[in-house]
Amino acid sequence: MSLLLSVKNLHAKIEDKEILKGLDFEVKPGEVHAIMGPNGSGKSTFASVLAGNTAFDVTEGEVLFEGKDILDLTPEIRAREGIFLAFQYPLEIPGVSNSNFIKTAVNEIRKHRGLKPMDAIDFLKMMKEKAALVEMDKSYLSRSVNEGFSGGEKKRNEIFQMAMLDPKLAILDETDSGLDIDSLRIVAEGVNKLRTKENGFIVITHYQRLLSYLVPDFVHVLSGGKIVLSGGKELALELEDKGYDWLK
Amino acid sequence: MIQDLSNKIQIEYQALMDSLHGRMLCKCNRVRQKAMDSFLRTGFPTKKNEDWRYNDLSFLDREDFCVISTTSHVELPENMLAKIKVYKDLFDTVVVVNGRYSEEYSHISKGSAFSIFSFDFGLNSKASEVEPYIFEYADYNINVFSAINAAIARDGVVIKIPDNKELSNPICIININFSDGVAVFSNNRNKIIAGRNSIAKIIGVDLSVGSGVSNIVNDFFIGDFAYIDYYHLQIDANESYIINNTNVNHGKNAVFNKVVISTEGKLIRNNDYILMKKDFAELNMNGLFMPSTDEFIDNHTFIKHQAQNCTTVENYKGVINNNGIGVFNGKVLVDKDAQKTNATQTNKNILLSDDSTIYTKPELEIYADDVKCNHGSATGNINEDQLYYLRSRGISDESARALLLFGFAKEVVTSLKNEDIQRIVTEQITKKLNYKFD
Repeated sequence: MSLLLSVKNLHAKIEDKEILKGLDFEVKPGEVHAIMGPNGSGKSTFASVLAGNTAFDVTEGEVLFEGKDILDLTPEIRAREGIFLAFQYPLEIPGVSNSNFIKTAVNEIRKHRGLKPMDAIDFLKMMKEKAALVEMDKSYLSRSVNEGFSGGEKKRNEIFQMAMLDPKLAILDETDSGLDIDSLRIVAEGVNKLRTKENGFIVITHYQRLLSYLVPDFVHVLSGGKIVLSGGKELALELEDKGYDWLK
Repeated sequence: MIQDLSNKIQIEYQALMDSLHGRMLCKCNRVRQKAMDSFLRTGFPTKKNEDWRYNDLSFLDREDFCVISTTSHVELPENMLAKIKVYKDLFDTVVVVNGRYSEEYSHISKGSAFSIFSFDFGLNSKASEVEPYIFEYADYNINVFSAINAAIARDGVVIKIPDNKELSNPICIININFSDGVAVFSNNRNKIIAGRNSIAKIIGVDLSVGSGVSNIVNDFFIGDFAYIDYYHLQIDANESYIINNTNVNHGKNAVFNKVVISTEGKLIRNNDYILMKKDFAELNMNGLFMPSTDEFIDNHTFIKHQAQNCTTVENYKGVINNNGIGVFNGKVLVDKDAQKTNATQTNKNILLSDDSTIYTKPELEIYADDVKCNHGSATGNINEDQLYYLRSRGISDESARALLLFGFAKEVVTSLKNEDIQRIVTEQITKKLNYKFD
């Protein structure tokens, strides 16, 4: 089976600090990978590098998405190719309505794929449908992006955007942090409904809790800028129990 | 020499005085004299004058100005008529060209609840109705252009909204400087008199042809308990110099909401002078200014609190591109008797280019001891984190920037409580940002 994502010997730094130190990683279509690890191990950096955040410099290694090198692509081109990052700290954009924001995004992605802009009525229908997936009230669509949203609402909005953009590879960066148990369940179930045989997920988390709702095929431990251990879903339970110290 | 313009203004003043045949005693002419004296004393400001230190007034230094306080009918070209038509189709519209109220170009629907006549006609035939509204308060030492206008302006439009009336349709006043072939220094003087407990929306539009000077004064008299919106639009590309002076005499328990949108102009200077002389008055001022290549947009506001329990909320936003220059100078003065004043002043700016400039100076001068006042200003670039967030959703860098700037401007745009005006303004902002949304 062809690879969705292939990462080889990835090194990345921010300013002069090297954070990723030779990371190898693969995702096949249909797979859910969880990445766990202690604070400062490079989990969020990995997510940012995949999404194309220019604050990080890739100094070595390669990242292939569907066989194509993406390291020179801008964040918007990566998004249009099918990579989506659910932010750990979603930004507030005052004055820009959620619906206008997502409409602009959907249409620019469609344009990239050679499709016409969506008809307004179809678009509205789709928005309502996807908002329902994460139990987001439709009033949130006309509000400014994330402005005044609670932590849980912001995370739901991330999953809503993901549903609208229909990515091939979704990276959830600590989507569970700051969520109460109900929101956690809603978000996880929303993601489960979006799982298909074609798309892949990378779920970055500190806690096993999310993984009991959103069951991964593989669990990896990232420590010191490298994957130091990989296993099945039971590894998450073991880590919850024993912590990370024994891995050093 | 700038002296040339001064001389022409004096000649015009003298001609006006001579034509009055001794009717010097009326209040209007006393004010004219006072204003002229003030102008002669101070002359045109230079950069040494604190209130004008950022303005390049060298455009006044030319010999071919035609100083007119009023003219006969001016034939406007087709494209100008088309611009007027946009407003005429929507609102009761009055047009003032080169210092003259033009009934020909105006259109007031039949059975309107307000009365309207020319300032000139008012002075001659309705003196008792107009005299109480001669604005004596403008501080001519601060604003010499207001003084020149007071001294020599002969005409403009007077709008009277009766007590207890609510106007269903906005009134649009279009001020035009028409300098086709000859540079005109025009003086329009308009008076908007809102009766007690009246409700109305007034729209002011500045248009021009050629490189003249449009020296406009709008005097607002807000009756007690009145609720007046004033939307001032400077959104049409032009080569002229616009000096727009707004004087407001604010009533008791009255509300005045001003929104000014300035997207285009070689040189725009707005002087707002607002007098809060009666208790419980509320003032809201929102502004958006977007100077770009070789443009200069300056908002000077001066709010004088002289009564108790009054509120001022002022929020101006600037988006400055290329070598454009923006100025915000907002002064709030709270007299010692103006207890319980609540005043907030904010100015935020986004600079889009390394050679963009903003001069900002929020000022509070407080003599009372029981007030709540604050002010602040912030200037920065487009937020890179927000930009990255939008781009990570597939939105191009260009669209993302435009979205963020629209978002920044939206707070001001939504304070325009009229859908048509919002649409017109949004189109202009879109044009200015050189961006087309699908």
